[in-house]
Amino acid sequence: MEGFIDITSEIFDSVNQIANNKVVQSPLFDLLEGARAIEVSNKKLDTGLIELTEEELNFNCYGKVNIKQCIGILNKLLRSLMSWLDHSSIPVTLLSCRYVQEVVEQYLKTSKMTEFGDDGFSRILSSAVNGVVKFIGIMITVGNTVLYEEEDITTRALDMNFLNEILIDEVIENLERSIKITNDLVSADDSHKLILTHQLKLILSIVQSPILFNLQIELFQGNPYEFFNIILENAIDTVKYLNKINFEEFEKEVPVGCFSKYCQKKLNNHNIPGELYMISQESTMKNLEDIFQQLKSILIKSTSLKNIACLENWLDYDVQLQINKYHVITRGFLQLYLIRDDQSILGSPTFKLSHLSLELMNNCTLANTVYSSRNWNININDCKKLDEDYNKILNDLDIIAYQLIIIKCNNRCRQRQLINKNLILLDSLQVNCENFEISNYNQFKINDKLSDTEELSLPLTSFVYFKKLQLMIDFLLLGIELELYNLVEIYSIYWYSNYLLKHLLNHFSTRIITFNNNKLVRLNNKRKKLKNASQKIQIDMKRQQLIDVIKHNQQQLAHYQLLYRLTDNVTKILRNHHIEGRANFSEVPKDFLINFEKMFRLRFKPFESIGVPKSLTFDEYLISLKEPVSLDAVIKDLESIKQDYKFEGVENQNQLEWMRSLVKSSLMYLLHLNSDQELRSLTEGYNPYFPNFK
Amino acid sequence: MTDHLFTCDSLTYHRFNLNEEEFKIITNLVSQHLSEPYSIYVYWYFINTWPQYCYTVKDEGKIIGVIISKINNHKDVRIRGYIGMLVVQDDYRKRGIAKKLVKLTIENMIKDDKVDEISLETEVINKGALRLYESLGFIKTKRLFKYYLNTHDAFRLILPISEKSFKRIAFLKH
Repeated sequence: MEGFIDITSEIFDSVNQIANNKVVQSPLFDLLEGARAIEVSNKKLDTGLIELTEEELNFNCYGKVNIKQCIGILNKLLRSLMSWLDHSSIPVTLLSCRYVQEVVEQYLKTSKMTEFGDDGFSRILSSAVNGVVKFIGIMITVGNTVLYEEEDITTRALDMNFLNEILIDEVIENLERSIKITNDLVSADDSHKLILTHQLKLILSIVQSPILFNLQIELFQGNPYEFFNIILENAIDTVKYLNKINFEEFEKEVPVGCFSKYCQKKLNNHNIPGELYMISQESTMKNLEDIFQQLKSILIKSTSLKNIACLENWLDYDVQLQINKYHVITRGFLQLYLIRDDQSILGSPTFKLSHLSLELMNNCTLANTVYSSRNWNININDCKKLDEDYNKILNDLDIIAYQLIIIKCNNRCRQRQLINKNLILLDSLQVNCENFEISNYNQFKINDKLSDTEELSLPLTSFVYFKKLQLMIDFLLLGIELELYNLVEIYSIYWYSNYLLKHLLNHFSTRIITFNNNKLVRLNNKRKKLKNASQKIQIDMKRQQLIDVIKHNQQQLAHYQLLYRLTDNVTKILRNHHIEGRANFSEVPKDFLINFEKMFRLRFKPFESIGVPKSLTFDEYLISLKEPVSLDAVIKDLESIKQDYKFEGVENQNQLEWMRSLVKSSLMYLLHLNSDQELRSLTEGYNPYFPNFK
Repeated sequence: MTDHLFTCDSLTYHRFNLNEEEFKIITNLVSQHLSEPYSIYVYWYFINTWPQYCYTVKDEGKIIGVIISKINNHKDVRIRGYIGMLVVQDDYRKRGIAKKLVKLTIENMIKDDKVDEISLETEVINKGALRLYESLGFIKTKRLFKYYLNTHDAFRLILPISEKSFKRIAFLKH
């Protein structure tokens, strides 16, 4: 038989090697190989046993289609696209469409887009299918670049090439031509023409959406990129129009065999058989509208950022905390939009990763320091060496800035894993920064005074320490959102978080804010002595920068104070449950194979190697459980939270909602205090870090 | 029978005795109850390499439960036991059989292979499995996004055994 190789003798040779009923296993054959291996003759696992109907086997992509069929096919194609990106894979969604399979198979042979015929509808169908296939290719690339395969996105491309080398402009041109052809059709019903035109426009918008990560935004300049906004708004209107159409009658017209398991059986498929997966019409339209709305929101918010503080708030509250609400397309595009291959931020020709890292530091501790000006005032040889050492530190800080952004763009589960990994990096960088800054002071007296005392300010160390503490707190509290903790552990989590928050607040008030206020006082004093107007203008610019930094500091401080008070009160409430016998946080249940100390040590293992703040021990944990609780004080503090936080000056809507949810949590815990029942479970509260106790 | 380990509540616990008939029964039992479709190679991978960690429970000679596990050298620093599959037939549940199988596996892994920790994954929505493992002291260390083919998230659970389990991998490599 042509195209086949006879391996009978090889099979029998290998069978002969099996002796004593033992399986011969290659050392390279691991669990992953086993899981991916296809088991012949097992219906659940052997794609060769897939049964196809005559219509499916003999489906002809080059037969004529009418407008109703065309509409039906395109609708199912759009549903398949959204189904793939709803945690499914290509073979059971898009490649189940024979037109898609034909395009990718022909492309391997001809390196050209496929035309299904010369007549109007065939040309329209061709351009639409080619458009969708091109977008699949783009999404595969996005997935390979910034998403996790089989986690955020599942490809299984069956060795096909999804028009990777075809220029997107060519695809767009074809789609635009098809829209014109549709409008000019004389033989078709006007209402059908309108639907088909909208479908083509929608596919066009989908293909155009990756423009986002090619835009070059000048950060903080308020340049709104109106043309892309219009594309997105039109796309939203198109989806809204299509959402009103009942596609059932059109889908009934789709030729039999057009969507099948054919590709699973006929292409180079390493996967197990899968049922075709198709999400509902309603979900398809909702997802499509969500995607365009999300992209629009990203565009508008990112182009209207006024300064680095707004960028930080956007990344914290609109990206990091909201990331699981974003569609996978949005998540992938967002990461590519934020940081480009050339390390530019939002594609800015002038604002690169190194600028971002410096700005993040300026916005915390570095503004108007000897390190921001790099004016060392030392001899030329020492200066050269110092510059080299400082550049090394800055390179490490760039890596941290990059990692901080990557963390925010990943799904919430990944965020916690990435935080864990980066804690070691931050801890060692903190030591390096401290050695660098102290050595510079000892050798060259390079230093900015923290305040009126002689204490060193250590702005670089201080920044890294702050970021490390932020991540440690996020790591613990995010575990609550991800439902990682057993009820018996929950006290320890809030107790440890509260300890970290205490350190963070102390660092904030005694160092960061003190230092920034002191710098401002010094600038004010300097300004008073100046007579030259241009020098005054320069000083005023620096003063304004510091005023903005301090304002941002105060907002962050308010957030962490609120978290501190909540964790403090929750710790006390839980401790009171323990003291009153409604919960037991010192003994493990009777069947546990490990003791409480082992559980405690495994849970806080990520902090075990952290130098500062020192890790809390299990003994300290046990002692904490014996501290008396004044419920009156808890009630008083929870009651006052609502009065204490008005959030004036908070402009970011998601930030505002997050803070309000924290305040609401305080009221929720007040209500909980009325109950004297045994602590049984954690249920959803107002804020993911603060569940309700039942 | 040489593979018989002990009897409890008139059910007999066995170390799996490799034979075709029982192999088929086990694979059927697992495929009926677990969401992930495993190929014959996965079963062979476990049972052929670590037959000592495949246990069955029988009622009057009929297999009604099974646990399949393995041992691996995790990142070259820790010996990690891994519970791959655990199934008890529906009508035999809530009798502590699964717990006995898990304990049997853990005890032997500690005794024979001196494991540093034991790990497994389970679906976030599999409350029964979570209750079982958490009641034994397994700690949920990670949530794995869309881990299973059915798109459910998973939890990774760890039972720490030795001191090595409390150290970060980076600090065990030196």
